[in-house]
Amino acid sequence: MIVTSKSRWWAIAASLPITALVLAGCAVETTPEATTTMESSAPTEEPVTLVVQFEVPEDSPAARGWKAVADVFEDMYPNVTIELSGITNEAKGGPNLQVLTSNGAPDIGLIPLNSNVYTQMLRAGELVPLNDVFEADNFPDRLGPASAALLQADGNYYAAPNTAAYYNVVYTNPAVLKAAGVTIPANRVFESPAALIEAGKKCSAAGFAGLAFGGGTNYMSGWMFDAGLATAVPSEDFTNYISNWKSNVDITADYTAPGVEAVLDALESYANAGLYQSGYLAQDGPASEALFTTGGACMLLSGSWLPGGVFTTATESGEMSFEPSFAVLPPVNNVGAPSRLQPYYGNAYGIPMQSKNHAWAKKLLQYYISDAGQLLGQVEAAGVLPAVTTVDISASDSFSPLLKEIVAYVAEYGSNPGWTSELPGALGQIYIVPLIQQLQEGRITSAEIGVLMQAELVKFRAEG
Amino acid sequence: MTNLGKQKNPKELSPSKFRKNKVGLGAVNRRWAIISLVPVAGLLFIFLALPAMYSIWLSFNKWPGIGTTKFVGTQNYETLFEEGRLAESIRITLLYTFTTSFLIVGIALLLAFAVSSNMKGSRFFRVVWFFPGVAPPAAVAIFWSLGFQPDIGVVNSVMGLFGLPSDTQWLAESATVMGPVIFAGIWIGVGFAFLVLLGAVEGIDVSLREASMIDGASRRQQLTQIVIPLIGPVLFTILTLQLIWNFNGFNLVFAMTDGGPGRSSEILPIFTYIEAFRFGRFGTASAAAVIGAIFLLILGWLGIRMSRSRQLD
Amino acid sequence: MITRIGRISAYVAVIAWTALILLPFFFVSLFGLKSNTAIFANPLGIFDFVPQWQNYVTAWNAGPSSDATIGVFFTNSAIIAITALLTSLGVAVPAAYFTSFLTRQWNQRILLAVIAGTVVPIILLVIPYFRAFNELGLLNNTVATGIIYGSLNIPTAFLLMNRFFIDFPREILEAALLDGLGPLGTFLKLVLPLSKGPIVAVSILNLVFAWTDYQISIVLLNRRDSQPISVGLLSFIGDFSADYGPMFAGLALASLPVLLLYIIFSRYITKGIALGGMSK
Repeated sequence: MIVTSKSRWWAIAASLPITALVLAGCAVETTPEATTTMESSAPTEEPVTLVVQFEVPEDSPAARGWKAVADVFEDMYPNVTIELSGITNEAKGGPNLQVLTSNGAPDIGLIPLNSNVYTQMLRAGELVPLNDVFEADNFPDRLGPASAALLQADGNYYAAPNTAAYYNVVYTNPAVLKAAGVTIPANRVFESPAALIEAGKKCSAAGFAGLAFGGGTNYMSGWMFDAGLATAVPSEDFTNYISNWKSNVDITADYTAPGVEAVLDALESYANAGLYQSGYLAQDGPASEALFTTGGACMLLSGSWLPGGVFTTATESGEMSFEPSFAVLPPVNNVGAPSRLQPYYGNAYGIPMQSKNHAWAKKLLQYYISDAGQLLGQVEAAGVLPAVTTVDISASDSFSPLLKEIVAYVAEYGSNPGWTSELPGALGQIYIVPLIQQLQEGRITSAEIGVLMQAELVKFRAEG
Repeated sequence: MTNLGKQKNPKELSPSKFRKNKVGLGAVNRRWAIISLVPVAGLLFIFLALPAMYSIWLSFNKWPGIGTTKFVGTQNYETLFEEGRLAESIRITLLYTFTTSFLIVGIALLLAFAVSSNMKGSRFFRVVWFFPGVAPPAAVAIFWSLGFQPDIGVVNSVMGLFGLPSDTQWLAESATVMGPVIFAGIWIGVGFAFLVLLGAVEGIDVSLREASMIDGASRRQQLTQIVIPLIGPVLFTILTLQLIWNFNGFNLVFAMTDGGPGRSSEILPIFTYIEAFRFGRFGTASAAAVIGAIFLLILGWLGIRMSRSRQLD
Repeated sequence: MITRIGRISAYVAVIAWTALILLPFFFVSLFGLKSNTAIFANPLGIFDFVPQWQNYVTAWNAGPSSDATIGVFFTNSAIIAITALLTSLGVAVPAAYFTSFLTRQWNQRILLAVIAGTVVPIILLVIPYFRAFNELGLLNNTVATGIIYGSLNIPTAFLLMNRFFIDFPREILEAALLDGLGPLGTFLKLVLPLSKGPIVAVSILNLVFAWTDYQISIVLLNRRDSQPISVGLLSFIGDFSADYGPMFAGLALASLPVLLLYIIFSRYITKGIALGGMSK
């Protein structure tokens, strides 16, 4: 059989160079260097293809935004072709690290700021400094206070957020709430955990789920922790919590403090009181959203990307037949700040060192974060909030009125930073969510989580 | 009831008897054996042995996924043993592996026995029962995840029909989460095991079974006293394969539960994945994998020994 | 006497099991026709919903880029699967055959060595593969990835074929020898045609692995136009918005070719997969 010999020769031929190289790779651990063979000078006139990452699915706001921006950019610069490459939510926090540091790296990569991918790429010098891009159109000023967190210790910027999202938004179904006899306070904030539980009980009695949320995901339980932490500890302690993961910041607040325990106790009480939908610990975001849009739940925990996305499509297709409103989770107690929504600038874009088109990638990124690009990509095409504060969204027709309300609310009342969105994922979200899930099942106590968290913090700092 | 200790080879000459006659066949073919084993050795070395060695080396280092590695000796192993998570993961893995594998083989054996007695439509069953094996794991995971949902899931609906409790939150409780996962694993795995066991069962001389029937044996006695002893080696081979596959299985469980809730379905491959790709601790992940590999080697060795001791030539 | 009850209960069990096997396929295809609401609010409904035929169109068009269809993913899967099959069979089958002529001790030792290869969890193989392929510029190369899948299947293929060949009747081989066929000739012209059953079995295992695995593909094939269907499907499932309808439609479409292929080739598995002894 000719096939047999061919396979055999393939094997032998392939084996030798691969063996040699793998052995070479093992023997010497080389950092992929920031090579000077990459183009760093002005963009050329020759045809160039830029690969840009976005998060699937294909019709997500991010995808729509990039498509719109890409079309306009390609018109402006006919020699440029832009190729969009989708990555999954799972990949962007983990395996994408390998892709972004390989020689097939995209030109613009999706790098969540609170992921291990960002942490590692910074440490290894695998991201192109973006100072020139930021300074060209005054991005730090246009971004506002959020830009402070982007500036790294070496004075450089390495990633640019494209959208501001607010999470821990409690969407409400007014008709269902009324049927259950639940009223939301005028300032939209539940007075206390007991009040939220009470609302949940009334909803259950009326045959609806109380608060639908994706308890099975590896991040949403962390959101609820975020909502409570700022309200339960004094503000200096809170500031320490969100920054003492850096080894140059002293630890002045301990996770074994009563405030932290109070937050976890509140989460435990929500679970014990049956506040959430049946089977929530195994459901993801879309499942809880579907329950809500089809009128099965009083409330839904999600974020500001919903009005322009799922709500719009659900209403258009006739699935959703009501106008949702929104509320805010209660403060755990009155020790800390009042309860507010949390902002997330985390889905950011950077340029891998391994990209072969630094200059053009920078140009594209600059356009993407310019006012024009933000207006087009985020507001008009995607229906989400731009990261910059200098774009006027009130005039936009394509913007959902609900989203405008949320923006107005934040403008009036402010927001609280979120612990899981500030901390590196390996220490924050990834570590605590399984613990909270165990707490919700009664397999661990709040006090134990505090102890574990503190130990993990110490370990994380020690590793530098 | 005659208990036959040796399977009669229908062609009379047994291979081992023939080997003793060596000559001709043996020597020349032995040369070819060495030649043909070279590509096997080559490919297995490159794609299995080398990466395995790399992983073992990595388990004594710290590596975040890119950049430099840092040698730390046995620290990774010590950390794993101190924290209870690895032990828990291994417990869950063994539970999943053994339950799924034995149930797969058991059900497949019953099905093979049921179908082999020239049941009508057996050709149809042979073809159809393997469908789950070729379905994309993503599809299977999503379907059964939906199927085990408390309110809208098909499983609870069916249980309700039979008067059984119908509101179990299968995937949302650590006590019950392994149920759906094992169920889905069995659903996928029975097909292939069935085909293999069917071949073995049908290879048994029909006259043996007829003789036993005339002797008045019930179907159960036929099964336990004739079929099982005769297909022993095949049974152990397929069981060993299932144990290995299920121990290393990742796709299905990951897609159904992500290791949760609260790490309660975190089989070892998922533990390794999370350690490496979410926490960025490739050294510890490699150490966990090495420990898992040791378990597997023991399992595989046991399986082959048991199948060898029953080999009848 | 085989009791009536015995027969009937056997039939009941068999039919129940068949229903358990087939219904999910039916429902997945049905889910492909439903809207999100219908899937969540009324999953078991068969007639009382509005069929969204466009879901299947959406799924078909959801290829790697705006002008490529899902067919690209299928082609990639096919290339990977065929390469894997050729590698695995081409290397493992002759080796399993000739090894069966060694002494029983040597056979066992080689078998153990080969099986030892299956203990490495794929998760950890992925990183060394990635690094090596990165250095060699073999990322996004479907043929190279196919070779990996084939190589990973060698232990199983070897194990199953070796068992079969050990029990292969020697006098047939003896007769061939007398006829003047050399070892290779005997293997190619006589043994292989008689080994269809186990070879098909091994091929099925190999194909299923290469077709459905995504751990290796997702890392080694990160450009969309080189991705197989197992990875391409994942793009339907987002975490912040999911189109379950088109996703299920996509899953149904993805299962179809393999199912059809299997139905076609199943006639070689006439009497189940005979692992030991010759099927009559």
